[in-house]
Amino acid sequence: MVLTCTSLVTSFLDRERTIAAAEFNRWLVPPAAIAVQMCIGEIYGFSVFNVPLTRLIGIKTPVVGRDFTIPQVGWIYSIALIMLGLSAAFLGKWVERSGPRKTMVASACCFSGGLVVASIGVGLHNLPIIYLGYGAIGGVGLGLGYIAPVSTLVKWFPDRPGMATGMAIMGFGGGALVGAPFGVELMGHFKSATSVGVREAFLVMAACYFVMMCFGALIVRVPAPDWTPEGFVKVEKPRALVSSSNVAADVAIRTPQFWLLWAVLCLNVTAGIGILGQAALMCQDMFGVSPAVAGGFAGLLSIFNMGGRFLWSSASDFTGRKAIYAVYFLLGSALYVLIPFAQSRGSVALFVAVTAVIISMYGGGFATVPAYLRDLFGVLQVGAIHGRLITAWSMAAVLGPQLVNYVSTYRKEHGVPKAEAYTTTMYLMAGLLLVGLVCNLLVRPVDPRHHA
Amino acid sequence: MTTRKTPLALVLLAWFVVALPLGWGLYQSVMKSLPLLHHTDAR
Repeated sequence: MVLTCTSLVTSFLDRERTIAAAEFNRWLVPPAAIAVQMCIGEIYGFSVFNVPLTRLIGIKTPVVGRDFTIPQVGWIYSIALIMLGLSAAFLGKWVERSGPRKTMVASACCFSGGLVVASIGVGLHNLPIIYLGYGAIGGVGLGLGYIAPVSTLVKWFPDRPGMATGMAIMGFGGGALVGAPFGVELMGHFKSATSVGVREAFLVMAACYFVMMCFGALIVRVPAPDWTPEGFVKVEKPRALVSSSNVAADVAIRTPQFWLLWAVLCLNVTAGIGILGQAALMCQDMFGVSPAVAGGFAGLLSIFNMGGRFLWSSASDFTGRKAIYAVYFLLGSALYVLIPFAQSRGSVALFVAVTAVIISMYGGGFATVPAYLRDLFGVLQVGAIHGRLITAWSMAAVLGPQLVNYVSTYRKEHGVPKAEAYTTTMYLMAGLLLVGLVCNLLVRPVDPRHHA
Repeated sequence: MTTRKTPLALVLLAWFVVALPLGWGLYQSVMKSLPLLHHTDAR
């Protein structure tokens, strides 16, 4: 009986069972992708748990020596992002073999299971268990959930790959918009004289995210191998960088194109994440605004981060991937140089407008890269190749905030006024983007000898 | 290959299920951004 049930579930998750019928409506797949990405995107809103996690014993104020410290808690986020990169890199080929449904369910089990383990760790006040749960196990869920829907959507929308990846990855950006206030609401609900509410919040989130991710797994489908959208005609002479041939993942990582794109993603993310992570503090230091106004600024950036993912990536279907990245890098570096100017003029409005565009292009860079990979390496193992490229994000997640923190702190310690402490960092970011521009311009079509 | 047309209601329902939390999150962020907008207006 148990064996029958297990084999039924296993076969339901099989890739073959997800192959769509002839008249399947492909517009059912984007919500499946968004459902998963929106849940795992909660990681972007993790910072709302930082302070409560440092008050698990003291409740109102941290008990020095017994409660966790902010740097200790900060490692939870870092471990999760490192595991995201590693699992996406090492499990990418398994994801391609297993299909999206099995991967999404595995992602849901890991992500929600990680939250349950972290909840136990909070209850026991045991930091290694929280690292294991939210960081390591949850991080594997992040990696699996990030790449599976993207490669599926690319296959469903050969006519609009940029828009397709934009929709999926927009969901991840939206995860912060949902995850952060959801976490705050739950902690507020469960808070008591003896609890900050984190343990209970983690458990409820685990249940909600599991249901939502399984909903995505239930409705997801892959197209039949010979399927094309109605009225879709393959262009005889596609753009120079768009290949109709496929390159295997193991071969792709040996090409210069892969490593150039790795650098492109890493530099674009490093520049954006440096601002995103420090947005509230920067706004306060540069313009002396209140914490409430600075918090509003961070919220506004999240909206642009999400919107940019869809809009810029969709635009890349018309301009080509190389051209849109050239825009990200050129316009981005010009806008970074404008930030010190806005500060010197005391113009909060200009500062907000400039950073909003920068963050929209940061999001756009994430969303456009799978379509860029698809252009260069084909659709065959695009998920696995994307997974390996994601390690650039892990690297940037460490580099970007460190650069902003280190340089601005150094300048403040050397007597530079708070308001001007970020000037050098902004020029540094502009320089990084120009290096990214060079890498992007060096991208050429993949040598045909690498084609499968 | 089998032929089974996807009901439009199912597609709309799926979009509604994901749009609901996203819309709520968007609303929360806009509300959170209001102090910033008031601040820039006042200047």
